[in-house]
Amino acid sequence: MTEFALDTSLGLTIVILFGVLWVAFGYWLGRKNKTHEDFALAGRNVGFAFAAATAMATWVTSNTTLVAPQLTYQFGLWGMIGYSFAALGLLLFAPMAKRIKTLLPNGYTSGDFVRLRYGQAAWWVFIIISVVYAFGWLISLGMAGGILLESLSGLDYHIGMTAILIICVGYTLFGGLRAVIATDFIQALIIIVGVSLIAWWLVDNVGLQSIHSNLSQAHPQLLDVLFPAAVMFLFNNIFFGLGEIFHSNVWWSRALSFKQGVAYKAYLTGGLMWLPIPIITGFIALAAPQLGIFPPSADMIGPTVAAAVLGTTGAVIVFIVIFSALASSLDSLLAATSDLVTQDLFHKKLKPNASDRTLMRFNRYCILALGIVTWLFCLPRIATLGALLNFAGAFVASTIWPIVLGLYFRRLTGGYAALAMALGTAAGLAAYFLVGFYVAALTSCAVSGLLCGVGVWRSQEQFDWQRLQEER
Amino acid sequence: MQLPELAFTVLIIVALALTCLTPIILLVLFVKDYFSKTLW
Repeated sequence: MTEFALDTSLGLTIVILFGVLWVAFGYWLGRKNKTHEDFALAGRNVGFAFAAATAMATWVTSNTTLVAPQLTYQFGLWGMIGYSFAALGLLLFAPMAKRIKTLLPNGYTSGDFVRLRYGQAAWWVFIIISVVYAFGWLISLGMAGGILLESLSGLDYHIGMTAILIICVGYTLFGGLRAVIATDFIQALIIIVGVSLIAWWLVDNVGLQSIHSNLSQAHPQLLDVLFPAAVMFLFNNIFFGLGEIFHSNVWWSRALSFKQGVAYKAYLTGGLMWLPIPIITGFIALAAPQLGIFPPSADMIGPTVAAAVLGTTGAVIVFIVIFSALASSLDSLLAATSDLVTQDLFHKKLKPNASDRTLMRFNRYCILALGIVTWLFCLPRIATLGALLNFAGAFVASTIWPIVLGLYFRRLTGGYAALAMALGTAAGLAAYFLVGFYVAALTSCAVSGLLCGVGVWRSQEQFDWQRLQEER
Repeated sequence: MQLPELAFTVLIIVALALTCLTPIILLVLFVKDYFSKTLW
């Protein structure tokens, strides 16, 4: 037995087995993809079970399994409660998803909406934000894959990171959104069962009373309900989550791919199912001090606790759970970002007359290219996962108001929407560097909201919703 | 101000119960969609 919870060869065997299984499954599902619409939007016919599971599983990412415990370890209770508030993003997106499906029956991406609703200037700002966010998230996921394999099995970071990228690119490339959604369903089951098993073991063997008593004596700040930086984090995380979901094509393409009448209830159910998960993963981290576990890197606290208490079995469970969580988000992001590049840049800007076959081929090249670029960015291990992701919060939170107002109100114009997103992002970045990561999204959203408010107040325009119903 | 033990216990138990319920809901939905041929 090595100093790691898992033997290196066992870790590698699990990765290879999962890799072969997922890629073969993706290939099998991909046989049904006859058109670009099949590939990019699963034929716009996804039922409730898959829709709810994919909404939940995609939101369970490396952040929920690695960063939620990390933040709980740093901020205590508010770390996990604050993290669970990110469920608001899914819950509030539910009515928006219904409206998106009604307003854009032929739409493909969130970029389609911004271009048709606000025009070119806002579209460019939006695309820059989307690309920065997509790469921030992709890199964070790729890095998490490498960190996980290295921490649990001693496998070199670069090999682990490369393996998870190859697997996700592989099955997304073959199966498109259909493979992404079907694998999400299985991954959702694996994640929940695994996380519940570990938490249940802790409750049963260590005990809630014992954990609480140890924390109150040795680490009282972790139980403090008035931890100022943590309360700030709570609000920041709400706006970050809203910004991520409201703007990202990951969620828009799903809304557009669901059957008629499914989007609202799927996002609502997905959000409710996701809500308790960060509390459970955070709770696992709270048991660390009592167990005498103090990992060298805070973002590995959850996996380290699980591996320590359950031994090799725990390490295998954690390994598979986090692998599934990473894959369920990585594949979604690869599919959604490649759709955005194919539809918004290639089809609308470069080749308006491209055939369906050309679009499908280009979409596949995009998935491959995104995988390679992500791999290159992941080569140096540049930041902790939380820091990297919260940087993106400054960008995405600026899109909340332009998206919401754009969907429900006729008066906000493209100029104000572009200005709100650009200045909101700039203010968020300033707050990130001058104050801290926990106020970046909050500031970005506030500035953007202010500008949108001025825009609505000054505008006389009444946008015609029919302009969103673009023929392909 | 520290979170009392009772509140801490309730928070974790409720979260764990809800998490355990999720796979059951997903499987029931899957079976329902499968038999009504509305999976895709």
